[in-house]
Amino acid sequence: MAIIVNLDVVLAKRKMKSNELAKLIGITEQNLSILKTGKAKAIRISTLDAICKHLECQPGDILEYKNFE
Amino acid sequence: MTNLLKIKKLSKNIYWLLSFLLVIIPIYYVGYWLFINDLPKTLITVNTLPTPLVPNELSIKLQILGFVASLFPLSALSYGLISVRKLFWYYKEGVIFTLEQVNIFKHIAKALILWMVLSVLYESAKSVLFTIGNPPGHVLLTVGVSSAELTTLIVGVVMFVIAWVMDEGRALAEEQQLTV
Repeated sequence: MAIIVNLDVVLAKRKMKSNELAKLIGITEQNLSILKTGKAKAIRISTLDAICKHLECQPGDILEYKNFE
Repeated sequence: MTNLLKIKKLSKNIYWLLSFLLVIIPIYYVGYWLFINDLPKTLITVNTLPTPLVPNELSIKLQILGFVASLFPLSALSYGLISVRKLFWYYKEGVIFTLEQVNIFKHIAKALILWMVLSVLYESAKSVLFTIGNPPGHVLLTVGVSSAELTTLIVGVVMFVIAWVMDEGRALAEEQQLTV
């Protein structure tokens, strides 16, 4: 997929663990893992909102578009 | 009690009922042909109007032939029952809307249509077996399609459509699962 999820990078910068973020934004670790590994088919605005709020970042820091063609 | 719990509970009962049917139906078929000469006439349904001139007296050879002929619709029926049982096994485990279930629906539809075709052939074979003792020129081969067979065919076609719809449901469920 051309959309790259950089959640791992932002988490590392904030020195926050995945399970910690999952708890803060109210989703399961399994769902967060789906997002991190790029398996997710869709992301709710509310989830993105919560992630940006707790990681103090912009949606563009988490999601990046790369043209592989 | 949530809907899923209700589905699981009811499916468990249906699963055991289907398991029972899977055992009892073949026994019924064996018993039917084994005791064919002792069964009351009302139990022996043949889709032929003329009464055999030598009623209900089938030799062992004819009984075996009849039983072998019955194995064809029985196989289709058992295949259908096994598929439905498998479907309810998934339901009792709380697994709904998977690709496997879509395939099971297709298998059930195929089994129903096959059962319908083989039942018509079986009834035709029965008409020959029951009139084979008649004098030459009076042996009958009848081929009949009753409303029961037509209903089975319609249900089979409907099952194919349900499988199609189920596939759409599966795609939606999958998307829902992968929405974070």
